[in-house]
Amino acid sequence: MEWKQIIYNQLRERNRYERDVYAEVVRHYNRLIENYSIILLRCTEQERDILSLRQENTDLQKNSVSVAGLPVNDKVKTLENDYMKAKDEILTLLRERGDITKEVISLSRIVKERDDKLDSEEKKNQILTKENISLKQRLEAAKEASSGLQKVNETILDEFQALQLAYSELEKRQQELDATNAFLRREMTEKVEKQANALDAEVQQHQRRIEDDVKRKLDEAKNDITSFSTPTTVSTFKSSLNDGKIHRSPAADFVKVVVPTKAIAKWDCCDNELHAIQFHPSGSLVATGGSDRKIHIWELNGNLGQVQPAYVLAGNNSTVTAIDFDNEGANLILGCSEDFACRVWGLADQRLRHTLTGHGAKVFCAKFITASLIASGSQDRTLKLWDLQNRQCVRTLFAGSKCHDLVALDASGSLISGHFDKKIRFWDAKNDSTKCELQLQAAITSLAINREKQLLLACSRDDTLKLIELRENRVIQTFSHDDFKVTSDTVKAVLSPDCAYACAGGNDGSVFVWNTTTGKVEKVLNKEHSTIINAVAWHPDGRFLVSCEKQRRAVLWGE
Amino acid sequence: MGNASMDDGDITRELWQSRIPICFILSDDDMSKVNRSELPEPLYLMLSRHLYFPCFIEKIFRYYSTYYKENLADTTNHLSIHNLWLEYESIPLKWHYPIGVLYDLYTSSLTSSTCHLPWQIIVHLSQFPENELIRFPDRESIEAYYMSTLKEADALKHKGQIIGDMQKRDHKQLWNSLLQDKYETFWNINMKLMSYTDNLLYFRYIPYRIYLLDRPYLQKLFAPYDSEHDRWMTLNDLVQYSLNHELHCEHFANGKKMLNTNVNDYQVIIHGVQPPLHTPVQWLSEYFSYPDNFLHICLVEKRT
Repeated sequence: MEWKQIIYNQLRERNRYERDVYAEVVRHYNRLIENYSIILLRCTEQERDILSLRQENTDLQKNSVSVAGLPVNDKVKTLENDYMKAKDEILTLLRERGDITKEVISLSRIVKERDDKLDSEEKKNQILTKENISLKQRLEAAKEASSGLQKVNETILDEFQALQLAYSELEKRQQELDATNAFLRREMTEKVEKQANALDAEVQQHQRRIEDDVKRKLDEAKNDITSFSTPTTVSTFKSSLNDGKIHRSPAADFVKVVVPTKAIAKWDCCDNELHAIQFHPSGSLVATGGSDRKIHIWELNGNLGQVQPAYVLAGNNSTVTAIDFDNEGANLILGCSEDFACRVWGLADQRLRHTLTGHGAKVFCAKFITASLIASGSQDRTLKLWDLQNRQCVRTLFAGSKCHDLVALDASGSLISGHFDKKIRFWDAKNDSTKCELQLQAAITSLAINREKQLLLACSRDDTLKLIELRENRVIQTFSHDDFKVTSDTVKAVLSPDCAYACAGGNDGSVFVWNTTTGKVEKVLNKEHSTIINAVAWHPDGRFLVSCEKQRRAVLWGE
Repeated sequence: MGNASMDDGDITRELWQSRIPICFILSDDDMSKVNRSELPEPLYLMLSRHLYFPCFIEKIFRYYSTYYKENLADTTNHLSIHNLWLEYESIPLKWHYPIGVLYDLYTSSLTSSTCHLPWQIIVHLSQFPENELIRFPDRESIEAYYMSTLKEADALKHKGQIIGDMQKRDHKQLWNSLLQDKYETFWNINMKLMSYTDNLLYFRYIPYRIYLLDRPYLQKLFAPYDSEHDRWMTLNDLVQYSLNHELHCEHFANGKKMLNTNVNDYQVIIHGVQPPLHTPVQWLSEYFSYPDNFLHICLVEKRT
């Protein structure tokens, strides 16, 4: 590849020849040219300056030429004259200037004053405009408020009118209702009177029937005497005839009363003391109430002798003291408690129907007179009659002593009540005063009446039970026992449905059953209860007896 | 042709660093119109051989315009950048030839003295010769002319494939590195243009132009490799072939001038040097081309 080398050498030669020799020279030359142009520029400027200076110089020279013509003295004089003139002129000018500056100062002062006045006026103006704005705003607000109030007023007026119309309507309705009410009341009193009369008639009829029956029996006995001749029966009959007061009601023939001999079932009712126990009129339910504030309903299976809990009625605020079922089929249960109120539940839906408040102290007893009339007696020494339809107390009877128990005589509201002051009071339905009073030896703790409303069983604190005949209000029997002690104010005693037996619980846990005819203790049931028995109740069929003790145990007694 | 390493790099570097000292002198006509007391001194510049005169026209004009401050506004004088033209020994210089080509062509032949440096060119600001010259163009036109020459070269070498695959920014970079005299960035891209295609070890045709005095340049289709005789074509072959072919064409056209086809009567000058005539043409095209990828060959008749 020698041609490459040749070419390379030729190139190097060429470059050296063409470029290297001249590069430096050209560069320096160019720099010299630049410097030369700069110097040229400066030179032209300086020439211009020189020209202008020369021009000035020539001007000055021209000026001085004109002066240089005169001789020296004259020159001086003329100069002096010129000088004086110039001084005078200067003086006048200065004076003028002084005057002008004075004027300027005064004018500027005036201007300042005017400016200040203007500022203060402007400020006042601003304040006033602000006040104006705020007043306008207030006015607006007031207008709005007033329009708002007007609207409210209108609406209220409209409402008032509407209410007035409604009120007048209601007034009319009320008048109509009052009229119907008065009318119904009249009708009701008439009906009640009719019913009372009918009852009287019935009772008389009943008595007449009995008399007829006795007569019949006498006739039969007369006939029998000739065949049997048992003097004892005659005597018993005679005694019964002589007394003539103890009746066996034939209507009670279907009731088979047995004296229970043994405990069939026992169960714990609740966590606290038991105070009340009651059978449902059908005999399938037992209600217990105690200091747990609830009324427990238990189902009774009579054939098997089992008791099962059914449900619980709550609503009382304090201990339940007494329970009553209504006997007209309305399926209501009444419980009264120490929270001064009586409550009525429906048994079908277990719902609290009514709460009757008004007593001032504990309610000790309450009974259904009818399904819509309730009587209650309380520690506040009053008895109250409540109407369930109006839910109001329709009558208050002032007894003067704590009422421990009461029974209803008839549907019109006649009551018998037993009190702490050893008196039994009989109340009339029509007026508010006692019809008569019966004095006993000790405070009365409970009352029980038989189905025919002729015999009254009173339990009193002197450890006895007294059987009172109601026609003559006379004590005909007294039941007692050595072990029977009444130690509480609310111990309950009951009569059997056919009035053959009386039953009460003692404070040592024994249940005593007396025979009402003989007055002797028929049976003592003990070993089951351990504390004081607060209440007993007899099954409507007469087959069972149920007792509850303070220590929460209830026992079902039977055959 | 492809196995040189250091030597080729040295040669291309030497080529890149070529400079010619040029002295621009204002023409007498224009000198008389100077309205300053000082006359402009000649302007000396070192210009690259492979650049073009329009790249420096603004510099030249700015230098001379300081002497014509008032007269430039006067259009009757026709002194403006558009009227600028360059002349060497009463030949107006064509602007689309590279500077090196113009120098080799004119200085080698016209004068007898061997030293022509600095190259003295006369700057005219008026009296533009409309018949002989096209006006100097602005920067964008000369760039466009350069790019079109480049594309023509690539079309001859690779059917235009490589230049077509290159992106526009590569084209721009070629021209800019040319203007800013950046050898590395230029040859980074130019290497791509010197590669081979179609599984050949040489170019399809060699892009070249042969310049002679008083006639337009010669450009023929010439392959660098003779596959029949299995030899590489040399510079001698190329010049001989071109001269013969031109004579042939002249016969056809009944041209008046008769071309001397004897190669030995000429000096073959490329880049100011005379390479040996047995140099392979393929190598010359790869490493000895001008930046526009053409081989500009000047044929100057030898003095007897």
